[in-house]
Amino acid sequence: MKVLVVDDSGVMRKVIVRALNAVGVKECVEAANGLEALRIFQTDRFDLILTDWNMPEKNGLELVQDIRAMGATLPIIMVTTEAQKGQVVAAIQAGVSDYLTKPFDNDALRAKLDKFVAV
Amino acid sequence: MSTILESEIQSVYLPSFIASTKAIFKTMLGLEITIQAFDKADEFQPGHDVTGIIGLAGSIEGTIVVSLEKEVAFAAAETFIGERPTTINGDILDLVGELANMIGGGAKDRLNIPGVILGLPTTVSGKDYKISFKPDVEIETVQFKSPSGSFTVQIAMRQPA
Repeated sequence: MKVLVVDDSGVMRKVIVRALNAVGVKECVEAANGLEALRIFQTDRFDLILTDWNMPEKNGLELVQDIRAMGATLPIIMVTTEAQKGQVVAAIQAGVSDYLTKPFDNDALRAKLDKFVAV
Repeated sequence: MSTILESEIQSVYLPSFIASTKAIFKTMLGLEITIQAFDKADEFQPGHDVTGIIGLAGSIEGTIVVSLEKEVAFAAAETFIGERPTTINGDILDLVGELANMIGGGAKDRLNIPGVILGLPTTVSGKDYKISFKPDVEIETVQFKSPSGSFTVQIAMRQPA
């Protein structure tokens, strides 16, 4: 299983990659913004994407819209501080599969990953 | 430009930022924190080693400044990424920026005011600087204590015209 982790915070990417490793995912590719993620996505194959919302260059919502516009159906989890109802609805309408609000603890992150990770 | 009434920033905004800060430290860092003191000032002079700054724009305007003693930042990094830095490195700056982001995001969620946009965080290392605000901005500082040391969360708010 191969996962694309997108966040402009390198520390947050480390946290998510550690959690992925803990549930058995060894192949993780990191991107620091939506634009970089899109470039990587177009040249590689992934089984799951975890993306932040607020990022420079291209935000997470735009990334999800672009990926869905390409016809990709892989699961995408939005991991973000943006938790207001309207934003959650916008993310789901854009094609997000699930939503995890920061702050989160390891159990909450693993519960989300368990839904989508098949190692 | 209208200034937020003191009672509004203290009674509406401040509790959301305090609750957000406590939730983040407890949930993500496993740290119970307590409030040491409240302070008012017309400019921010950081007393701590590393600082994260993030803006709120849209239906409200504000700046959130989170300043940590380095030992608090090191302890947070150890919990967060499993490595304890010994200097203020890129991971520490990144972490403090993310803390400011999460505190702002959590407060925004609790305030539940439509049309508020969270900016991207900026981080500063060192103490030799000041952050000045316009005269119509009200500033509140909350000093927190954690098991690893002290930190402050400062909010500067005004309502757009």
